[in-house]
Amino acid sequence: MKIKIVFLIFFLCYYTGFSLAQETRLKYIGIEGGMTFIESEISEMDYLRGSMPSYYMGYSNNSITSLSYKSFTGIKFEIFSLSDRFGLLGGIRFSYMNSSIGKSNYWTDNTNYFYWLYRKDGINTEYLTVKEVNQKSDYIGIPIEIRYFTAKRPRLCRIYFKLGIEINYLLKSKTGIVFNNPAMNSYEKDLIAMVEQPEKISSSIYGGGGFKLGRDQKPSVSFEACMPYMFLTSRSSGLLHPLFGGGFQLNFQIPIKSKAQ
Amino acid sequence: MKTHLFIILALISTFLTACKKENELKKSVFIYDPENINLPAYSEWGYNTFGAYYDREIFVSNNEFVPAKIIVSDTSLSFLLDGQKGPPDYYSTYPEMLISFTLSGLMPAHYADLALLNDSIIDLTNSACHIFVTIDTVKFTADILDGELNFNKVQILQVDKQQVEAILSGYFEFKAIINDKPVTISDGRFDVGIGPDNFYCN
Repeated sequence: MKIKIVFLIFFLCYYTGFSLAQETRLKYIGIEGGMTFIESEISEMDYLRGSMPSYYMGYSNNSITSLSYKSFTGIKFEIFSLSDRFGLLGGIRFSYMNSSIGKSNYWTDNTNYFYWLYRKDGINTEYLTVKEVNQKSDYIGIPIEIRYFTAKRPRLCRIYFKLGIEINYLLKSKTGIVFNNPAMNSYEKDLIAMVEQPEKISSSIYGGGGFKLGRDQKPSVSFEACMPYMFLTSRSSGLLHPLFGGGFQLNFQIPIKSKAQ
Repeated sequence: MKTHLFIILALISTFLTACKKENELKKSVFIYDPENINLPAYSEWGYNTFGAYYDREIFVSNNEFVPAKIIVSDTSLSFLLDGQKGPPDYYSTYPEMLISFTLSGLMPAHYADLALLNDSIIDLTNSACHIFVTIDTVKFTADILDGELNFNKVQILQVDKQQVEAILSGYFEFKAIINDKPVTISDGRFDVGIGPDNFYCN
């Protein structure tokens, strides 16, 4: 439902801002790159032994923590509205997402591993000690973005605000486990089979702002901060449930000269 | 300058050496029961916690005392739950409280032999059972009116293919006359690890 509404907004923007006039508009093609750091909560994993502060106001350095970030690169095309205030961007994006859980040992009396329930058979129970679980996923996706420039061209530096959506398709995902005792490495496959895998399709919506630097109708560079970055699908990472994020994006663009120009 | 640097480095290394990493399984992981306020939720992970209502008060494990011990004599087994009489807090400020369940006729030689208690319910009114309650160093013998001790699950735990402890998880409740006063211990639950350090055998 959320995806449908966002698409409708983009569709309306496209028709009102870009399609009503027949005059020539500025167009750019460019490459992008960036990173997004994601705040997540650990998926329900009933095979992990709890490792949390024992009592109210207990130290929190003893708990299992998560880390998730995404880096991406891609090619984008941009077409401007006649007023040159709105730019519609679309293209193709390759993303690499890394999610991991582990245990911090900031204080020397804490261990840097946690217990994984490997087997329960009658009265016999087996735990394996694990230092880290990581999941690396590659995606190919389509970003669609609209940016609004606060000032008209020509200017060397133009500030803008942006709204974007991306839809990603999972190409491959690999889960790895770092055991506390390397002799247990032979059990890695069994443990990986217990970990939830990421969804094939994931999508997210994001806002942001930045500045575009470059002379009018010449190659330019844009640097922007992306915040907030919200996931529209909950299981984008199987290991973690991403909540929100923030990051940055860098764009290098060159103008496409049409015959009329 | 070099002398100062040397002293600082020596102090840091002494501190780091002194802070030995604790065995995580010996620590308590207290997960609150959403229904029974201030008691740990029932679990079977060896979280080293227990709790019960002592009439309207709380009897619960804390970070100060080893929560459970098993003492085996020539004729009996004693299962000790050691904690505080008061709600859980990080720095325990409440009096120490200990309940000892003594079960005659049970003499396991090793903590792994505690498996014989798996899925067993012990009627505490049986003459072979005795309960002692210690509150703030004063020991009372409980005159049992009704009650049971349920070892719902006993697990022999291996970590990285090494046997390390037995996990005892279960429930307890009883009515008794303690210090000439009727007392009800209700909603008792425990999830404790018994290993070489807290298993005592004559």
